[in-house]
Amino acid sequence: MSRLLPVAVLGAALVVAGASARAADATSADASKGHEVFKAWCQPCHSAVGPGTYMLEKRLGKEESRIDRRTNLTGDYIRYVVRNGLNGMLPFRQTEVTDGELKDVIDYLTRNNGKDGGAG
Amino acid sequence: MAVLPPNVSERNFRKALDAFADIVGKEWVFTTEDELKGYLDPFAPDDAEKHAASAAIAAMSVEEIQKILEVARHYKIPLWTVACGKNHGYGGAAPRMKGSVVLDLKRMNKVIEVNETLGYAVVEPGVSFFQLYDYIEQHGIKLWMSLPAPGWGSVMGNALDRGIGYTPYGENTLHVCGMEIVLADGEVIRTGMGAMNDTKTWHLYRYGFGPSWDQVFMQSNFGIVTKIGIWLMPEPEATATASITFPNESDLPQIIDIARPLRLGQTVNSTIVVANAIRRLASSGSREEYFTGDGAMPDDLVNKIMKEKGWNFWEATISFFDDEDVIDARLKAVEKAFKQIPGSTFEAKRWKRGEPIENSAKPRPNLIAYQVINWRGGRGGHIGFAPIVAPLGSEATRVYSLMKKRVAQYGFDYFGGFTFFQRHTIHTSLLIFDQDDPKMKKNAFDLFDTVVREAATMGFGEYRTHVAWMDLIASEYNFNDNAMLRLNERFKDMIDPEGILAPGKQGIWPRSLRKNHGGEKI
Repeated sequence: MSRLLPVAVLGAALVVAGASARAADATSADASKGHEVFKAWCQPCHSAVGPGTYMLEKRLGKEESRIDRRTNLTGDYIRYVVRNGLNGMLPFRQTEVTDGELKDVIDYLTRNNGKDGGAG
Repeated sequence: MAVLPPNVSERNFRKALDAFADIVGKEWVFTTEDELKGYLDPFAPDDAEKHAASAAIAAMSVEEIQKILEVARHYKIPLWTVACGKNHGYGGAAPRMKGSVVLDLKRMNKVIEVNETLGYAVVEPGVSFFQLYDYIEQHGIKLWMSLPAPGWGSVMGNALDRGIGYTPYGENTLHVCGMEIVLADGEVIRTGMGAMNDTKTWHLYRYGFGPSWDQVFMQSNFGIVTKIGIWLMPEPEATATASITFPNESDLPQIIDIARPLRLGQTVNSTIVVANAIRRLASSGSREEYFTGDGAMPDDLVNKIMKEKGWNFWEATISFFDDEDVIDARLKAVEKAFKQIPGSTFEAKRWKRGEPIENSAKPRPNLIAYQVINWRGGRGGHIGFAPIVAPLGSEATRVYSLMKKRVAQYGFDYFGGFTFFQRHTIHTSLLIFDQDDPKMKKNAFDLFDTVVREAATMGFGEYRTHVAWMDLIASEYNFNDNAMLRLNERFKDMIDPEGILAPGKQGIWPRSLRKNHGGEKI
């Protein structure tokens, strides 16, 4: 596998995400655990004022800049970006975010997929 | 196997990996390309594969480390130890020598003790600044930390690499007190008062009896540090953060000469940061918002931007932590001293206990500093040029002039300034590049290489560096035909005769790899 997928491919993954994602229960145990993982590992950059949000706003616009409010992220996409990095985002090792924690954070970030009004 | 350790057969390497898996569990031995991506330097100034690991293993305890060392000694496997692996700008989790096995200690992440009465914490390698901060907050402990820019780094790793913070405890390495170390032969030692059984003073007095060893295990490859005590600052009654600005580039020597007696006499007892306008600009935006041409941003454009923003050329930031009346006295003296510089401005933001903590100078870990790597667009990367400079205006001018000239020559903007401690400054300048622009990346590499060599001829030595330049910088500490490096090598051969611990770190190679650096040199 190449070290970095072309951005165009990643963009395509986002477009189909809304249709293919399951409607996750926002209150599920895994999503709740995932929220804790998100707070520990993602939020420092992906908060309202973090550098991750800043870069996403530049690339995709304000609506898509907060990953915790997105409704179109897929598990495969999140898994790829966490393990490989993307643009300014760095990859995370399994000693930082385990495969189990990654699954939890995917549950959290996809919890509102397929629900109306999920995007913030 | 994509990469093997030097001088180790694939057969033996596989046997070693099996033995490691027996110790830590096979889920904590990483060998595939995907698993090892996180051990490549994400900001590599050259080809990240030059520092690729052959595998990584994640230990959970001192006992596991001892067993891993036994296997490594048997098969001659080089181990590169990382704590949180976030030493960005210096290689991240990537080893100095290609083919090393990364010994990842992120899982050893216990906060063993925080002693509020005596003002220290005892932590394992994997404890990040975020984690220790949260622990302190959750337990309502009235101690404040000294933090570097990124919060996910290791408290221990940062101190061992002589990282810095911005409080009176800002020289983090100076506040390490008492370490536990596993030597290459598996023996566990405790330094300072920790050499004595049943003492309450391990983390209170650094030296113990006889030679003091803590610094020997910092920026070195003589052992694996598994615990440190680190002093923390009692919560002050009040804080203030002063912002002092100066209109002209040429004000630099006077700023340094005024700051020096303030630091020497401890009127200012915390780190002073003197930064230029581009450093401030990069903290809140990207370069293309201001300039899309080739080469460095022209001075007249920088001046125009500064005028529009109402900024001066230099800004000095100083935080104070004390009783209110003491802060009053310190601020008064500082304001008076810097007023000598025509056109300077002085502002201070005050806080006292009971007011919202957000208004204080309390260091709180974050990752906002990563914003600056977006300065040149694309996948940002950076290298830090950081020589030690005497706190004299004339010396600051020499190193600043050198860097300003060279960054422009290679098409970069001067981004930096001086970080001022009690008796030295660090000229801190970041070379920020777009990793997907091969020309810019090569220019960054060549610029750093050039300026490090040139600075050394002027008497300026780096305090810390990226793995790619460890040999060069070690060679620049050249008194008496590099007698210091030769002493380090003699000690290395004695304490780690199999040469398994971090070969090449800080330019210190074990006997078996000294000649060709594991195949790097022909």
